[in-house]
Amino acid sequence: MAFPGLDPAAVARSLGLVVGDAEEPSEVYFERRIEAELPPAGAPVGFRLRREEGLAVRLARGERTWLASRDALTGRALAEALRQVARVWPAAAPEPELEIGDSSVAVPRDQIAAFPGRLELELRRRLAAFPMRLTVRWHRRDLQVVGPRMVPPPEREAFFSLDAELPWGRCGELAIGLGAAEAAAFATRLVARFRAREAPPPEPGRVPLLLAPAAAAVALHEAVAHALEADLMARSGQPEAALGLDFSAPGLDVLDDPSAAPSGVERTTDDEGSGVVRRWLLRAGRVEQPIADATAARRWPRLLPGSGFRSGRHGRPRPRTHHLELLPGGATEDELMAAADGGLLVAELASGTLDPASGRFVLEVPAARRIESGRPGAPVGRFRILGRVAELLGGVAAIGATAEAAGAGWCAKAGERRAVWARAPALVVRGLEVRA
Amino acid sequence: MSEVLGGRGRGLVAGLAHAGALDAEAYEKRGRSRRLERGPEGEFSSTAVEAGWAVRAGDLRHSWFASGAGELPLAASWPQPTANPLWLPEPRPPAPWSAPAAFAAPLAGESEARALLDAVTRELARELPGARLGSALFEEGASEWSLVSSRGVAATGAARAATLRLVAERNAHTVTAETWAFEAREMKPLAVARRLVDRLLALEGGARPHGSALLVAAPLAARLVEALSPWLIGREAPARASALAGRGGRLGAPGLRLVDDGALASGLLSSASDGEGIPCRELTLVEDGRFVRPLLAWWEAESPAAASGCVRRASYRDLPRRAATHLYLAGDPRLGVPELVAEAGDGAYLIDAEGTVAVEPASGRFSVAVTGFALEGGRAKGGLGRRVLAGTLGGWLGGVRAAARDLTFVAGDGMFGSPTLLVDGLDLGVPGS
Repeated sequence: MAFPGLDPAAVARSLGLVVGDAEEPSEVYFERRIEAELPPAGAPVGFRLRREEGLAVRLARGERTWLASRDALTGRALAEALRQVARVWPAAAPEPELEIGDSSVAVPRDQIAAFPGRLELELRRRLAAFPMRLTVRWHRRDLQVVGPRMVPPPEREAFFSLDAELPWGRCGELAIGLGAAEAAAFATRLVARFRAREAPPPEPGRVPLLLAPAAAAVALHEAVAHALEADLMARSGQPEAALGLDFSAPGLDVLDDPSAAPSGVERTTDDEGSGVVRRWLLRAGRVEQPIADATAARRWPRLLPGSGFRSGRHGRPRPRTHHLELLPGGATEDELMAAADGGLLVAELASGTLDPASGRFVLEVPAARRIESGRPGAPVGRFRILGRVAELLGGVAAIGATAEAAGAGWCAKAGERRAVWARAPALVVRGLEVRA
Repeated sequence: MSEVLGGRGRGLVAGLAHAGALDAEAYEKRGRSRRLERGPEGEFSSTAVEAGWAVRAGDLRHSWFASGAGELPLAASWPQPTANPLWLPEPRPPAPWSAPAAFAAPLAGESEARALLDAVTRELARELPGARLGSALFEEGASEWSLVSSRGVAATGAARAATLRLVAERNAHTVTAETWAFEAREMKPLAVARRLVDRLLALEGGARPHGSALLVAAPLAARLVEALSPWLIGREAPARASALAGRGGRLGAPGLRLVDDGALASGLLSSASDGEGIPCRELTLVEDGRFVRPLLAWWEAESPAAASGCVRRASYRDLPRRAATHLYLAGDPRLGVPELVAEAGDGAYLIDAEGTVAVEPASGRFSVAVTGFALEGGRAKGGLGRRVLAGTLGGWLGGVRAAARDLTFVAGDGMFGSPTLLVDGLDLGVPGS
């Protein structure tokens, strides 16, 4: 148990004393986090273990919301936070009882320690050797939300992350496990970058792009997920006005479904305690349900809550994707290659950014290959893909028939970082600009 | 913050040394912050009280790191070490330093923060009809820290800062502006609103400059200093800086002086010691246009006296790393901005960056979206619209003809400062050209 001794009913009673309208978003959020890190060989300071815990209380009234957070799981910390958001604490109210014991969590240190050796073996199998500084991390976050009326089940996310510093750039990965399959997949990515390290970038222009599942997932994260987050949509208009809008080519079905995320990071409720939903962002290219948290759903009643996620106890919940899915189309691998002939095969993207005001995005490509006569050809070096959301979504020419878990990574929104997950097939897109 | 930090650290370090770790260090930090955010979703007010600690222990062959929220534990199940070295600095006497009085002042309350945002909203509408705030974020925080090591280092520090981030809109133009101060009451709503108004008006214009003079206002020049900072930090900095240098090995124009000062009295990051207890001090990195020395952490300096005191901990969770503190171009105390504008004659007065400075690490070539006003006969005329300022960092430093005295800092990975500059050798174009 992450929070042994926690009495949700007692916490709910304390919260009930300060909540005026139980329909308004209000909750107590308890959090425990662990990050274990194996640094690169030779790095100053060895194995690193970070443990944190704390709580936050949120209270909303009308258009105003208050949040108070503390780095402690004690009755005093809870009382202070309740008092701070309510500004008034009933004179007769006792200090809430909160006696949460320590939780014993086993850090998978053996798995972490074994991975660098496994990776090196896989690199040798591929006849490759190059300087690299590898950091292996394990992340775990336990949370419990308590509302005035309901107490959802505790949630947990646990996963690994890899960060390789190479002479020609960084390469990162999120993974649920650290077995032989993960070592082989990561080695394949590292070797592809190694082999393209001196390749020249492609000529600037607009050529067809075959985005492999990992690259397609990152592109859609920027172009669909961020573009359909209610708070970002509100900067340029009414989020509800987008419902029913033709947003992309008709064949595109994009969902966000936190419950379908890989085992270990799947969610049944969000960080506000709302049940998650299988949210159709785009159905046949038409906007069906933007990503919303409880605050957005209260302000714009046609939006559904269930996607309010936080970077931690000190951050506010915001509408965010957790597990993005692009449903497969019908194109075989040969058909995808043929549709992108003369263009570029992009296996992965290093990063992406979206300017929500203009709809312009930039995708950083660490390496790719030319597509010549329907087959992968010569490697090309680092370049960028630029365009507007409408160009990307309107330029989809083919969707692969097989979807796979791919494109997981770190998403930073308003300076707050979260791990996000995805499942996608390959995509062929035309009309985007390629620039060194 | 009644309880004195450091007492538990001393006990813990002594205990770890007794238990066999040759070297150990304990770091404790606590802070509080207030945040008020306004946007299309409504108003969001938050307060946070944070406390945390970090411990490093080991020797030259094996070591570990642990951190956590709350109070520093005197005993815990510490991690098993791995084969990585730990080295800690020897104590050095700090330079005389006293914390600014604002450190002790209470944080702005919710109503004060709300009044500040209301005042900026009001002044903006009054100064420029049709202009409005799309979103606003006020943050204020204060923290204190303590560091104790088995080598005898014992250092403390405190920090405080208020930030205002505003997005203003008019006629399909949007500008984002940030301002920083020790505390909220130093922020002047009218001055903040006028900065937004100047930039909105400049973006709405379409004037073409008739002369070639380029006047780069302090906030924009400070962003160029920020872009330059990687060329000045670490052992590899001399070689990197020489690649930027022009004829005669000169990095900047004659008279140009570039300084880093972690103890700068008026600086938001001002401190007696850095994140490893090394005294902070003023260091001239470029003197009379010539590169003098880089910023060095104690572990890469040839002697303890050469260490810059430039190691920072972003939070208690983070390991110390070297970074600029207050890195700035020194101005000419005799020269005001009006005199510099008059001296410029015909050309362009670039008032701020409208995006981040993009730099090619290999060549030092940069470009940044900017806006400003055309200058005619030393007077500002119509707005320029959105323009792109481009060149090389070496060309910019070598092209500084004059610097005013209005030293202004902007925040990034450190604080970066510059006065308004009159420069040659940079290109001003239109986006997409």
